[in-house]
Amino acid sequence: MLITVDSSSAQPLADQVANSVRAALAGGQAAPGDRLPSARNVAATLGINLHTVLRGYQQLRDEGLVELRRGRTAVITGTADQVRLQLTAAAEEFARAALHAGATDEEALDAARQALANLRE
Amino acid sequence: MIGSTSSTDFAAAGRIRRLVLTAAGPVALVALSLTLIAILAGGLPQRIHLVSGAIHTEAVGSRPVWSSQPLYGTAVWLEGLLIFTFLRSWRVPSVQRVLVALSFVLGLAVPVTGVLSVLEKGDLLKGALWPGWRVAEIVAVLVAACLGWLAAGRLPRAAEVTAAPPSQAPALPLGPFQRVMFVTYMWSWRRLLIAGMLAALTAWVMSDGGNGWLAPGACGLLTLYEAAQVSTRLQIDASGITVTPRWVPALARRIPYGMVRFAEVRSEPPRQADDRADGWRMVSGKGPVLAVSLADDRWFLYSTKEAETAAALVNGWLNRERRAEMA
Repeated sequence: MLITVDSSSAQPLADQVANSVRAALAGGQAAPGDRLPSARNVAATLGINLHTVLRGYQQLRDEGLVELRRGRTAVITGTADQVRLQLTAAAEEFARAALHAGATDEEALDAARQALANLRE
Repeated sequence: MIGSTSSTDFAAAGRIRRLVLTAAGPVALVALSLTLIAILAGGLPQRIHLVSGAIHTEAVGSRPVWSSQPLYGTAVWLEGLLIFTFLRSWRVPSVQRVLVALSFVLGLAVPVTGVLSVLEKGDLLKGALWPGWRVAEIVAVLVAACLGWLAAGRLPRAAEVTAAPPSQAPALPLGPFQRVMFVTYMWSWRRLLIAGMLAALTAWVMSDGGNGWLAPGACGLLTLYEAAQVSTRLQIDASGITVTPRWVPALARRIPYGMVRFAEVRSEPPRQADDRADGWRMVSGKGPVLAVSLADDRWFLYSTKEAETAAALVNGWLNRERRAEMA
């Protein structure tokens, strides 16, 4: 399970933690029954607040992807919609690239539509 | 395999000294035991005598019980075992230091405690031993081990690696402000089997009350060591690669990035799945293995289905650190 955060990103750290887990599920690197690293370990290792990590894990719990257990351990339980997760991960990657390039929302969406149209041709 | 590694044999410094000290233990075991028996007994007493290289004792009790301590045979067997283990760890100074400590326990502490134990079976020392001598025995073993540890001297260290991983090694691009951690878990049925066998051996040794505490203690420690590695956690983060036994976190071992050349993925674990001179192995079953090339010419291997991600992260860290230094 790879968990990554970037302090220079505009995205909240809790969302970044949750996205890491979603990406692992989408890519097939994580499966139901796998344990997530303890929130305390993630917080200490990545140098972020424990409650930030727990907020990320709670997002995943609310989506039915993980079960939070006593002692702040989390286990993947959800049979996540792989297509939706892959799409979400890809969209986030695209959005990050668009923001990095300084594109407006319209420009980014136009580029995405154009790419879809090109592929469908 | 991604890259060839040049052999450095950094472990050569002080190796002959550690080998001699290791080999000296069983010799001292024989010499000191015979000397002590001669001194303490003022010559061998009637009930204790040497026959064909064994110390024979007749215990005093309701019925005579003979006990044979095959001194020479045991010493030869221990010598062979120590030398074999040393040769197997030819390039691992840390293991050699443990062998030196073990040799000191065999050569210094065991003769003293063993002779006292043998004499106690006769009537010579019956009731004459200080009541707390078992405590003194434990202290003697610990002191001997510490002396051996110190006598092994300062261990040579492999030079830190500064070169970036080969360009063909898989690598995760890491941004300058990106913080990443990778965690995976492994369960080893093989280690569980070994721990079970050692536990049975410990129980068998303990059932023979005449062996004192040293043999059951050593077996018990080995059992705990194997059992601790049945379930482990691998973590890769900014501090390096850490393997933590989940039941005994205090036994965690860390490989700092300075000791790492590069990481790669192997599709299958090697045949030999135990720790050997050429590597530190935590492998189980089939499936991909994370293989990390270390500065001391050894390999660290860990079974994980996410070996590709793990290898890419290790190389990503190395690239970020070393290419920035070189720039």
